[in-house]
Amino acid sequence: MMRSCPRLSRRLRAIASVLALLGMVAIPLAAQNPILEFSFESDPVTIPQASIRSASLRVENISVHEADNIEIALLSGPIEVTAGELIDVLGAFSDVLLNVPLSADADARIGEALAQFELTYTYCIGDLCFQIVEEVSLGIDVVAALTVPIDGPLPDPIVAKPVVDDGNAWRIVVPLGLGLLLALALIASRWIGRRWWVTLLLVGVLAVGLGYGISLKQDQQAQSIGAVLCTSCVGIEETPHRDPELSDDGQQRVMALTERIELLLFSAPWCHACPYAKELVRQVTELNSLITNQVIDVDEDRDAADRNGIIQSGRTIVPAILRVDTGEVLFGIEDLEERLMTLLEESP
Amino acid sequence: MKIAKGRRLGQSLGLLLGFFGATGIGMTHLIFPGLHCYACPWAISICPIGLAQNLIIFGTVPYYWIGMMVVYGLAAGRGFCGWFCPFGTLNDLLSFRKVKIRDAVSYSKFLVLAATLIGAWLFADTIFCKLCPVASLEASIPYLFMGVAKVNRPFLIHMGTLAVTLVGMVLIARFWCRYLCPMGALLSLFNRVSFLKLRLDKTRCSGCAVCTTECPMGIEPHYQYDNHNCIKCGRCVDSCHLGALSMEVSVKGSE
Repeated sequence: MMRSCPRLSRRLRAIASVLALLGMVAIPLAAQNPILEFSFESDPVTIPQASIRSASLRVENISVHEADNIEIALLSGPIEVTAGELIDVLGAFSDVLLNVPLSADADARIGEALAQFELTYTYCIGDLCFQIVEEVSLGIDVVAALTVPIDGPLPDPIVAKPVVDDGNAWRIVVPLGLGLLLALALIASRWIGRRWWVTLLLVGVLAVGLGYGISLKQDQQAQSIGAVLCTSCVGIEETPHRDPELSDDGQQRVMALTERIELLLFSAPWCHACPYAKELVRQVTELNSLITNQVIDVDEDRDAADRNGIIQSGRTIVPAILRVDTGEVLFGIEDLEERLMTLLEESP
Repeated sequence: MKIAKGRRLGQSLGLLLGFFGATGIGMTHLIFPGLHCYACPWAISICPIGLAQNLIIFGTVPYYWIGMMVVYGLAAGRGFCGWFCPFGTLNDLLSFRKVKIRDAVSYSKFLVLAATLIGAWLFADTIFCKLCPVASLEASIPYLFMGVAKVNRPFLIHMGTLAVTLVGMVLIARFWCRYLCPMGALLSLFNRVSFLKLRLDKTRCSGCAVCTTECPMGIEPHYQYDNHNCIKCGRCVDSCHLGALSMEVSVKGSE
């Protein structure tokens, strides 16, 4: 009995380590998933013909990310949605009850029917934004018009009852804590010995990982991450947290330009400094129509970066702004306004 | 002395491959089996820790990354720290004081690894890279001379972490590898299952503990020949006059 104990605990450790590895895989997976849950509280909704009613829609954010621009649209059903924009921002782990204003025409068919809605929202992790579209259905019971039709002002789709519900946090905290506990158990224990089946298991993981990963072109993805240097990613520059605003002096200098100037802005979707550069160049091109800009994603079009000399010692550096006629390039965003002005004012 | 020579060769190869981009070869699809900044102008392979953070930010399930880590882990475990990693080599060059390891404190590198990955997920940013002393040495400084980087706050933070790490390395041999390296933490998980292995013949060991005074990682090889901190550098093997310790490469299971 005493002898079998260490063996058992080794097995448990093996299981723990596999679970911990799975946990490590599960965390990144959570990133692209829907983060909101929708449910109608009043189902079905009774609407008399030629009148407006509202349906209570509960929206729960089950993630650490903020959801933006939650909108609703009708796909099918005997009614109409009178205001599609529901709410601008819903914070992490929060929960709201919204009124969705619905109207039935005077000639809407009487009887029960199912309405299908499409809910759209976006959320961002850094510069990466995802748009999520989900469908929900609601039972509608259209009844005969009331003798005095109610046609008052539209009910506002405002937050009726904002509740911060920490109960949802477990969805993230529990798997994370479990993974951490397992990792700690792994660390605290002595690692399982070199058994043939451990080696076999690892060779299996290796073969599947490499084979499937390469079939998904993850090696190319890795290469493209390595080949592009985002100046704010490794701490060469500060990550900007605010959008730039062209100074008054800058605006006048831009408006005074009389030559046609073509700019190319090289960026990558995951680069944190790129939106700053894009925004500044956008403001410049808006002020003076002689200046044009084209944004190039270096992940998509590496050749363009190659042709235009955005590559320094094997690294494509983003953000980079190229003035096409002079071939001059600005890397990064530090003192960008001043450097951009100098670039624009130079005569070719 | 054979192992020491072989190891120097391995470390030279690590340095050569780490900075092979000086030949103009550019970035390859390979992941480096050590901590080596991919932003380095001369790197030809990707930093595993930097890549892991980026994959988390992307929300990619990292099949390729896991596959490569298992390849390295199975082959040598932390052997790469002792035989290949350029930053490990720098640690080696500065290892004057061989201090006994505090085993409990050495787990701090796992916290660094966990914080790195969770930080990438929570903030969608490569936080570790902004503090990493390897990036200070291999990216910040070269780019400063190339005119891409400037002396600004992030640069000074990099110099700060580099200075602290260098002082740590001088005071405690292999300070970075022992306590802070997230790649070391990752590889150490595989240390006991890897093919490259340290062996102890207990019948030959007299318990003189010469190996302990030689060990740069501060472990006691004659007790803990399969310690997760062992970088398989083989100094203990070279120091043992009785031939009780040996290095071996075997695919077969040990038990």
